[in-house]
Amino acid sequence: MTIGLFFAILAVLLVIALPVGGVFGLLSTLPGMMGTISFAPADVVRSMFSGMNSFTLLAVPLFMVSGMIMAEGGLSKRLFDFFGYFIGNKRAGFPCAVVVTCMFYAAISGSSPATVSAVGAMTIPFLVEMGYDLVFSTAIVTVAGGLGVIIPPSISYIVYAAAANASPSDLFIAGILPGILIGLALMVYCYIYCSKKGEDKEKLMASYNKIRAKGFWPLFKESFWALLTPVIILGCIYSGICSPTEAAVISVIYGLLVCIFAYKTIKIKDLGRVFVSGAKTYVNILFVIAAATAFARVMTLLRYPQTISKAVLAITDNKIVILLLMNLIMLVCGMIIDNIPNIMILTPILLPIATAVGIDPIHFGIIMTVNLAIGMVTPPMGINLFVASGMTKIPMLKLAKATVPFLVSFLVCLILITFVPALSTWLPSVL
Amino acid sequence: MSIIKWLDKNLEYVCLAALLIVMTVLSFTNVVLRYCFQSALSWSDEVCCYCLALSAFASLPCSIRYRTAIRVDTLVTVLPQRVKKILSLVCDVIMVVFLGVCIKGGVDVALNSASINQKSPALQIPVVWLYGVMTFFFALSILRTVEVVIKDLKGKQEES
Amino acid sequence: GGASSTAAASTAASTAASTAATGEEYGTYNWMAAMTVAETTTNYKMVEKFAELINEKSGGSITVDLYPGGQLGNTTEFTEAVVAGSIDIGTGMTTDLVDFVPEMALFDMPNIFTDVEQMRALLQSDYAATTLNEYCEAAGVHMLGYSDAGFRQLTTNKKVETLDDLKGQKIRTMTNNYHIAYWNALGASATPMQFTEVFMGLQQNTIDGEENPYMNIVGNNFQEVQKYVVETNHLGHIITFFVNDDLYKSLPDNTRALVDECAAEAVDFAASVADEGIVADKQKCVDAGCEIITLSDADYATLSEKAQVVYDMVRESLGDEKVDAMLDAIAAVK
Ligand code: NA
Ligand code: NA
Repeated sequence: MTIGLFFAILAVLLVIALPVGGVFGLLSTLPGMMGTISFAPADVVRSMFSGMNSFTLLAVPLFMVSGMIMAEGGLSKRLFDFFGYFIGNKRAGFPCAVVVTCMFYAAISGSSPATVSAVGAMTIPFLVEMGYDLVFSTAIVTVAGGLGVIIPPSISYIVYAAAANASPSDLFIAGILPGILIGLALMVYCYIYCSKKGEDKEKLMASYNKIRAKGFWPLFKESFWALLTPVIILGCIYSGICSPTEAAVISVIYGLLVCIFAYKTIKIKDLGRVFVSGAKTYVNILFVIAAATAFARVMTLLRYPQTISKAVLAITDNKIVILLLMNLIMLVCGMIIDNIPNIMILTPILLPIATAVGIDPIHFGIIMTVNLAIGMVTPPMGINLFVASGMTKIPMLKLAKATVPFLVSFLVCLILITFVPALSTWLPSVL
Repeated sequence: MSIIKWLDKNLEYVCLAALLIVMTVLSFTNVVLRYCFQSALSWSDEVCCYCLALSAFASLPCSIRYRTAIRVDTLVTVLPQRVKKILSLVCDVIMVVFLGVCIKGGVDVALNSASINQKSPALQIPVVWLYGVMTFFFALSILRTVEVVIKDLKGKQEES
Repeated sequence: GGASSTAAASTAASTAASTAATGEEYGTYNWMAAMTVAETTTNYKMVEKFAELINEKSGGSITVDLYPGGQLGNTTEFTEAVVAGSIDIGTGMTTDLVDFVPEMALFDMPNIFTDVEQMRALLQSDYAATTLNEYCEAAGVHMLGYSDAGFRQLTTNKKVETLDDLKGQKIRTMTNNYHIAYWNALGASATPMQFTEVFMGLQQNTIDGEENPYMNIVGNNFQEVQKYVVETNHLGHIITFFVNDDLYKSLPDNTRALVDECAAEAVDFAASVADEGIVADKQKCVDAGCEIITLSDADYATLSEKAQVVYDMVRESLGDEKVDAMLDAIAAVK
């Protein structure tokens, strides 16, 4: 099976609207059945099972459930009413607040899809209520969720550090400035979007005035338990009570307790229904993630990343061009393979080339992570996209299209991060 | 409503909600035990992970039956209704073939782990059961696909 | 299935055999070798050496592709695949195999070896080659040999001067009931946790410590987030090197002999890199500011004494006969 045929089949299956999980699953079985590689149906389902049999991934559905509970129980609304008190009259105030929330969550969670599900489930309904376009609102979180792996802590850095024999602590510190830079760039685009498209000023001012009319202290009292949510979650992680993954379950339990006992918006007899609604939030994405694992194994066995890299890097030996080409390789691989397998596969191939042209391994780790974070948003294999699309029921391509301008600001940052090493290496050198 | 009818309507959701409750309660209990009582449950993570894995397979028939599975349908929506219907049928047939392959794979892994009596690390659960349940959900997915095809042909639509 | 495709490959191979430098025909094979650990580990270097040797000695007709870093899945996934025959070669540690070969738990009995030399002598002994391999074959794998990364050590952020200091410390262990029982018996709170979570867990103090050989401590940079390395030497970190049993048995006699020869050489090579590695990795821990703590003889005696809990568990699950055979074999190599 040639690489051309493989991607042709991939394209056709996607275009005729076969469910994405089926596309990945089917493509994982084909090369084995055609005898190209030794990968039997048994291996396909084994990889699917093994891919989901992961404690780290547990955070994804649990954060989605907690988001659902907080939205249904009115926790999110109270949280944002409080923010609205301060920024409700500023242009692009709420979209920027969502980006900041993503950065905030990124600083506690090591995973991007977890960030998307945690922040998205909570803030998207709110933005829509404020009159923002649903697709735009979802796109913000889909892209800003990528900060989950760029702002430390991050699973990507840990995996890269092991593969590159680098220090995760240094990577963690090196990721801070690039993360903030990207966050700012995303906010800049939010501002441009709101200036160009205009906001629903009437609706915004109406809710702003309504919030203002309440006065600060009554509002504070009303939103106290909601405001405590991030404090509880951050506190649990930083005091060592729970791991970043377990923070997801803390937020579910906390959300339930507050909604049942403090706000009385959920009744105990409704709990069964709440859990069913909770399950409905992730019903569309879990199998896709499972099938993507099998897909990653097949790509590894077919050695396509190697083929692509070889073809691209044969073009030149100019440092700048090589850097650009490596970014291109990582972007392309990021489109088709999931984050972690990509790091495993690409690090041994690209790192020697990078160090040969004088790039610090820490710096390269940041470049790779940022590239692959973009890949999480791009179809066909974009986990953030799956989570966001599953959550809001927005068609994947429609959402992907809306993320393009955000990705442009992401790319601008990527260029800066690539060609200004100090952005990544300065902070670790002074700390 | 008879039991069978109720199960037909709710089986996947009941499974998913039950798995979710186990994941939530167990991992929370473990945090509390570890932090407050310095004694973690050795099998909590294992059970949570298996619940998550089984949720993935239980969600497959669910997303098929309500036609909510993530797909790239932007290109299809511009097509005429007739072509759309044919493509949708083509996809359903492909899915059934794929699910058939999955069942074959599922049976193979189940038998393989049964033949060496493979056990889970913490609770010593025979792994064949886990793969068996997974394979059951593949089979259920075929059933659900057939159900929606029949409904489509009759022109009915079910809401989730 | 996976097994049949491997069989098909080997039939095709024998018809299209190429000739080695010695003039002997070994058949054409391309094998996949999987591991979860990185390229820096002894596991990788061992299999890499094997790949080089067998490629050279077969005149290029046998090739081995290495997939490190869990590219072909976590331990359970790739081991299942080796058992089923779709992956040919695997390497990990003995504890990883316990779910497949329960007798591998014999190596989970703590403080069973007095020193590394004794452990290596056992792994090279007839007992390992025959008795242990019978156990492995029941699970569908053939053990080509064992290497090691020395002993597993405890790393922690709370000082352990005597064993009493272990009380209440949250020590991450593998998900293995014997390991959990051991650390609980020592007064610590055994906390099984997925390996990918350990670094962040140590950094954010969800756990106080973990236990691994120097190779893995440094390989995963735990020295950056740990203050002390306590040389408990509690378990030998025994590296496995196994192949699908059907494949191994299906090989022509001369090819099987060549595989054995290259594997033996690779294992010897691994032992030499392991020793250099331990010294270098220990130095890296010191350079990173970790204090290396050695225990008193009295404490070692206590470790062995508390380990009896695990011995009883293993006896319970495997039967006295197997445990005694192992203990006899160790006594015999002394
Ligand atoms: Na993060
Ligand atoms: Na992508």
